[in-house]
Amino acid sequence: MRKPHPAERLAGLPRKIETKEQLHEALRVAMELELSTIPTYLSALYSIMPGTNQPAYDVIQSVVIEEMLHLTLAGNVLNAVGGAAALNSKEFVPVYPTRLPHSSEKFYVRLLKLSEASIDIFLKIEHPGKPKERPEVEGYHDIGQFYAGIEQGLEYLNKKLGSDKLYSGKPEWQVQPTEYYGGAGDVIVVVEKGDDPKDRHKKALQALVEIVDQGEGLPHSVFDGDEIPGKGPVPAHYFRFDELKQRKYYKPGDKPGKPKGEPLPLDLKAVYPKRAWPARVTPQSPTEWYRDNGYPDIARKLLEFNSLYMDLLGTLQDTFTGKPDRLTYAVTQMYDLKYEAQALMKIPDPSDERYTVGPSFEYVAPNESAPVAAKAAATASEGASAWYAEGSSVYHDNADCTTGNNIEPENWRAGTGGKRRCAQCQRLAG
Amino acid sequence: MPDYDVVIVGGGIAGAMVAKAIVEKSGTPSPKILVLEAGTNQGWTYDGYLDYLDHFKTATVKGPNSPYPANPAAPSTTVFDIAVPTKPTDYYVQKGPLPFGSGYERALGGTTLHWLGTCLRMLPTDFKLNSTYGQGIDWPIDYYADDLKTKYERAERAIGVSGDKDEQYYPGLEPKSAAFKKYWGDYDYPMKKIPSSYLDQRLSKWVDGMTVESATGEPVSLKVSSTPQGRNSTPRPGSDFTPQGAVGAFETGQRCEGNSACVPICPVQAKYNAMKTWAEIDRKAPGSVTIQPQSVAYLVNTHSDTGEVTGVTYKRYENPEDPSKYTIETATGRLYVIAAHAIETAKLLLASNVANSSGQVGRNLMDHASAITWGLLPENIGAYRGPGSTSGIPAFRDGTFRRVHAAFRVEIGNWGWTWPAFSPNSDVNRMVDTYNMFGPELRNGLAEMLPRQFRIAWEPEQLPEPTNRVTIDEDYKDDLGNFKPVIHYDLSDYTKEALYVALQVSDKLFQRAAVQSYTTYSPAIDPGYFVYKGRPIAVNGAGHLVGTHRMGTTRHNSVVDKWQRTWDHKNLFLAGCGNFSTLGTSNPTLTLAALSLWLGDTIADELANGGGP
Repeated sequence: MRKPHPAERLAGLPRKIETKEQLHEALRVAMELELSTIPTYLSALYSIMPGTNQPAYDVIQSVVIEEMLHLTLAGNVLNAVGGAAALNSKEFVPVYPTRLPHSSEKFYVRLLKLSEASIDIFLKIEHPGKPKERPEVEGYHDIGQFYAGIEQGLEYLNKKLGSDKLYSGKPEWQVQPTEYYGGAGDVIVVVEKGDDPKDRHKKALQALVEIVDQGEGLPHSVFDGDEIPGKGPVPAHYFRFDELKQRKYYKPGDKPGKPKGEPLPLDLKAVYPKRAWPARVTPQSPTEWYRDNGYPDIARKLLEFNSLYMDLLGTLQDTFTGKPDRLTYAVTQMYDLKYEAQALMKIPDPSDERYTVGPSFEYVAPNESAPVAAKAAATASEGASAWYAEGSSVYHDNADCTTGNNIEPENWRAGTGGKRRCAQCQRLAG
Repeated sequence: MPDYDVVIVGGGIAGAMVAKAIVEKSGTPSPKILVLEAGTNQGWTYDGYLDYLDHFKTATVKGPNSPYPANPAAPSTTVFDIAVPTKPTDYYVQKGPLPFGSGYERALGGTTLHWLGTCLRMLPTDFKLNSTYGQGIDWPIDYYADDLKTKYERAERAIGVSGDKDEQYYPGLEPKSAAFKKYWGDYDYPMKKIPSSYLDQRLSKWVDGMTVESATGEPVSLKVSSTPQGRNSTPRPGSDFTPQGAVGAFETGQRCEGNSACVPICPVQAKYNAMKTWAEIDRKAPGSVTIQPQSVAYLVNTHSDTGEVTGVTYKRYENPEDPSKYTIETATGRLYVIAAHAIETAKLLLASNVANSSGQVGRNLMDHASAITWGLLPENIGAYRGPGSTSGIPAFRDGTFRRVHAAFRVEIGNWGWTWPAFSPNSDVNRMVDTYNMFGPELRNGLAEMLPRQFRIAWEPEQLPEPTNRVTIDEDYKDDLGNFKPVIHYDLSDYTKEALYVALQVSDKLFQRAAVQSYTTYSPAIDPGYFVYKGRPIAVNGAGHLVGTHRMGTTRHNSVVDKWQRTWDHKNLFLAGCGNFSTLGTSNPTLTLAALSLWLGDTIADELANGGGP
């Protein structure tokens, strides 16, 4: 059954942050917020037929990469104030269609193909705030207002506790700037060995400012203050999506809403007709719906995709709870996710020939895929032995699994280790 | 007054590194540099580069040049045209007795468009082959006395090399030894190593510690060593290095994505190509460099009294498809650099009758004459994934055996039998055509075999030999009326003996790793086939063309001095692998880059001191 509405899931945040625990919770919501935008962007991105709409592909991909930066920046601030992420727990994985967590709930974030409707949703997500808005972590109207609420909390707690007590996180938990690439902006390390605790507060605020600037732009400006070598200034996310909307690029000096650069060609026909799930709460998840309506093969494919998605969230969870180097592996998993999402985009919806299935980005409990896995293993391979990598959340049992085969010899262990079965092994087993 | 401060012939890595150093050392105002590029500049825009990619995807046969459209106005050789005798349509005129097996690319970016990216340094003894082992000649430069260490570091930063110093197991320079410390210092590469492939890891289990006896009786201990590469990975912690992305799309290609297409084209430009350096110069000193494509230099003019170069005359064509339409123009500068590739530079000098008082221009052509062995491993080692090669076995890169036979590098390939057998396409054809396989049987057959494919290359150096040479001949011209290279080429016993030894090591390695050999050489299929001491061997070109205008200690034995200035013309410099005195066992591009940056410094100093006419 469908999960309750996001707003009902958690006790509401207070309007103002006054304790460290409340700050941790707000920063966890910030990470959830950044992460919840990514599937909606990826749905549009991977609906683009390969070889077409390169400009739109570049625009959306650049935003996704910077959302990953925002996730990382929020994660570094959370870890700096001694908090821990909760990215793959059931409460924090969004159910689409969803509202932005703890927002004023004016609109639904949906998983749509690239279309005028999806571009409109993107514009709403990234909409710049009004000047002099009250900071608000609960019931905010725009993302800037939400981050202003966190900034206020940081200022308050910094005065109340002092920077050494507030920023008590471990330096080795911080994701380093060398791990980020492919987009504008930089990872800001908040806590470093041997630094002055007073600098930590400055850096934490800088990190939050970068998130808001990249999303909304500098005040009264289309651009976000970053530059890409050989390309020049970078429009904020809102204005990058406005370029899609208006089919025209912004150039330096342009006023908001009035891009005057080169035309941006967009062919909305060269897009896979991914099925749009209803905007109101559906009684079932897409996987359950296909399973219960006589399409178990589709349900299985979605389960495979969602298992990969959960693997990725698991890696990100590790990244922001003490193993920052795992971010490299998350990138590999994002490629796997891309290939699977693109495959799903092409599969005709057997229940309605106008559509294709497309990815559904659903939560999968660690034990939920196990029965499927066990059954597949029993039928597909004769007595396949299992192995896993030290520190990984999955086990492998297929000799052709590239992930399983690439385990560093020193990390290789026999058995299942009580872990979830690897999605690729599951897929290979058919 | 000349039109430019410096005229550079060639828009590849040699010219780019020279220009980079000139611009960086000169500061403002920046000298004015003209670059004459024979080929097109299609890849300079990102869309143009994506067109290369499309061209590659639709090519039926995928060789190193296949992404880059054939250009009749500035032709080059494809590896499929290698044979003796040559067909009239071929670009190389091969006079044998063995065919010369290596080509290059003529377009902006040069051969770095299709190189693999291997960035090995030469060893100190490589510069002193004659005084150490009584073979070949010495270079006029020394690894320590001329501080090549710092020059290599600069080149590794300019290219963007990923590597791990502590995994470099070179003979005589083993990690933790005093020699290692002296060779590397505290330095490490700007980016962390590209992860070793699964094959590398398995192979190192089987091979590390295996010992064979050298021809001079010393034990040689084999060890798999990760290869430094000119492709982007994660910068070292604390480093201020920023990986350079694609030209025109800087956010793309800041890390290697494992697309497994480095040769012939990296789809995201995570692999270095020289256009990145031209773009970097353009960002840092806009307007300092003018790149003029589709301009084929064919004559270097000199002053009859002073011998100084007065201009470079070139044919500028509008349309590569129609070489009959061109204009003749002359570029003038205070100083000139010819950086047109080992074969093209030699050709241009010979055609102009300049810089050749030693008679060495075009001679001493060298390559790594590579033998490949291949077979099936008993287990799935994940062939066809990652960059083309991520490791090698450096054990035979140096040793007293160099008195008797050539040193060789061993390159471990990650892409199955692609090089020796055109796999996987040929396997599909064979299973379908010969064995009538289809459906699940075909799929299973391929899935069972392809991931187990293993190949390894044995790449000995050649000595400088005057008879291995590039010449020109009035009877052989291309469509633009320029000379085609006429090539005389053979292998001496010094190299053949190394191949013979290498294949014996290969036999032992195959036995140790339980590789079932599929290696066959045949005169019908292999242009580089010969029999040595009763053993059939076939060699391939490695694309490492060096030596055709070598540097040396006197004007009698060489074309340029250690500063890479021609002995005969004081305002004419040569850049590129043609300057190499000997080849050594490293892929030559990194050394080329280090020497070219050094040359750029020299030129910047000369410009500052009012050098040139």
